[in-house]
Amino acid sequence: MTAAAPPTLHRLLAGTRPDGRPLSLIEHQNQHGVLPAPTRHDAQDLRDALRGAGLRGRGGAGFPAVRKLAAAWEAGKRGLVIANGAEGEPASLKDRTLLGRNPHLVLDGAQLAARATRAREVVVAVHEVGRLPVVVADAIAERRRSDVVPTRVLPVPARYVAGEASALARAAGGGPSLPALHDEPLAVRGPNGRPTVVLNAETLAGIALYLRRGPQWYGEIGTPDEPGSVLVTVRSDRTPALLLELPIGIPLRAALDAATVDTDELQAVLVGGYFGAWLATPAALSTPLSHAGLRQAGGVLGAGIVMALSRDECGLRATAEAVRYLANESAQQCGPCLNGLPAMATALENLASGAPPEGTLERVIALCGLVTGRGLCHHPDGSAALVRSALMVFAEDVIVHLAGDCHRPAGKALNVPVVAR
Amino acid sequence: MTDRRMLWWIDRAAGLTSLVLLTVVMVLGVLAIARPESTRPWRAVVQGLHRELPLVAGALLTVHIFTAVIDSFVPLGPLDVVVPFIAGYRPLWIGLGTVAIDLLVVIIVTSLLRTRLGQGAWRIVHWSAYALWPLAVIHALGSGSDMHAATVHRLGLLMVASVVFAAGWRLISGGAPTPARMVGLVAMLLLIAYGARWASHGPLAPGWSKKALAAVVVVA
Amino acid sequence: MSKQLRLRVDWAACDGHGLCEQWAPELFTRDEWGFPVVADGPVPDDALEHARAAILACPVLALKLLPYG
Repeated sequence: MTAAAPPTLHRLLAGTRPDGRPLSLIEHQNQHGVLPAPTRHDAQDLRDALRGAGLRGRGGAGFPAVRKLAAAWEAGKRGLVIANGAEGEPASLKDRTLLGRNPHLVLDGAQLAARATRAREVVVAVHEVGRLPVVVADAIAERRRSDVVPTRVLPVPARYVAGEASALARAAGGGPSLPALHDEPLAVRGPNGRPTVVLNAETLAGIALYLRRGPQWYGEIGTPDEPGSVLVTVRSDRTPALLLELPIGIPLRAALDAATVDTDELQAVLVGGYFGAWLATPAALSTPLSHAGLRQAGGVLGAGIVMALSRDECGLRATAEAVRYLANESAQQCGPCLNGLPAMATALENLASGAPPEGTLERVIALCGLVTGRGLCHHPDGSAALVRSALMVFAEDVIVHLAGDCHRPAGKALNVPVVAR
Repeated sequence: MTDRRMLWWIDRAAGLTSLVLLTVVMVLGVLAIARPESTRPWRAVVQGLHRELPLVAGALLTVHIFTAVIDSFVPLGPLDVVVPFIAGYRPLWIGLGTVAIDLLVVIIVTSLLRTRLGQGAWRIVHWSAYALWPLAVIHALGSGSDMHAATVHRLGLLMVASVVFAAGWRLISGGAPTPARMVGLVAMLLLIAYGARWASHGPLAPGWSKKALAAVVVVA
Repeated sequence: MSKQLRLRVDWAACDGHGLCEQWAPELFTRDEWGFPVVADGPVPDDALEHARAAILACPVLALKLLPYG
């Protein structure tokens, strides 16, 4: 049964056009006002204003944004802010929608983050395919005269690892879009030796809203520890993919209802993205959509993607498809990932097809351990976490599959790209 | 045997032995970076020898150079040890040996400081080993006086064959052929062909000691 | 107690040569593809010498000792 859907908000997406055409600078300023002018102790003031705001990263890791800014400032060198609009998750809609409809809100946030760390440059990373490079470049051109910090657009390949923070840092310096070794956090010292602050597009838009409207307005919705709104992509096999802006902390059920997903038909949801975690329904339906709420339920908010799996679909098969995709998307720089992920995908596919060779389940579990923590980036770790979570939530299906196929399809909830590499 | 002839003998013996050692080092170097299939301790042994033998070769070369300088039979001074092509005796051929020694010193020093230099810089210098070895061989052919002995011939052929084999294997194996590798392979083949031709007409043919005295050599 | 250290592998540089395992078998084993599996936790004091030997032995300088935690 679908309850009355909560009013979806218009904060980040306020004033944007339904047809998707980007707001001009004037239209953006009519909606959100003008960016606060630099003060005498601009960097300090901005960081102070953000401290205690509880603004956490929306790129997946949920890291407190102001800590990155503080680390970059303390490094004592003028570095770089990278606005991450290179949305690698195939199931996510939020960053491309936000950047495509109101690039200026994200660019405002980037300017503020740059001012807060005295960065010399802002780089906006977007996938090179599609309209975003032009949309963002046009928006940058519109505000060139008023922007304090020079900004440029950085098109990157539409690959999963291209949106990884150190890969972006490398690409910003003219290198390949591949993860890089860094013994210190990027915010302290990036590949060019300078502080490199990478923040997700939605995170930056949130910073822009917060600094403009103040903590009171911002905290009218959300939870005390995590104020504000969050962009959530909801997908299922039967419903069209939908992007919603919801108050943080709203129960998962409300997001599904707003997307007209029939929650009675569900067996589980994958929340966060491909590096998120499966949660069994109906128990998970009351989980608050917040970092704290999901963590308590054994899940993760991640990139705010909710993928709903119904009972006539197979969670193991869906996970196997995603893991094969992730294996193909490996940067191929590190032996354990390059070898381990395809092996893990094969073993999981064998399990998903039913009646696998003896030892398959043990092999899957062993490979999860073997790839975790043995790579330059967290690609193998996230993939292994997805597998472990699937084995736990679909444990009964595992037992069924050891005997034979369950004959249910994977469904399209995960939106795994079909093109094989 | 007089002192003078003894010095000359030690000079040549030390030189030839160090060339043999450097040949072994070259082959070990290629073996050392081959992708291992086994975990037996031989890898550590190969690496250890590859790192230690150049020092032994260095010691022998010190003897080789020292005896050459103090031997008044050939007019070689201390400066000729580091500055090439200014010697009063077979300047070109001795000079090539000087270049080889300079390269060897740089390679050894950079290898001892590898952790400080970083892998990238170290590797570029280390590749000059592929230049060092041919220079040492040509130096030996051009300035050596034992080229007529059959054992030396055979030894020489064995050394050249082993390095060519090792270097060729290194260039061909290990994935897709890059432009650099193709160039390296072609350069090596040209060097072998040209070198063999030169050797058979030059040092290995009679009358070489007269031709070798020229500062510039025209290879027919 | 002196500060604790851990071994960090540069996974992009590592090519599975396996010299590390030969010099410090108490700290490294190898997986089925030849890549090192580093033991969890800080390097024990009595294994530090072996750790340093492994660092020097690595043909691609993929190993480094960093502060633990």
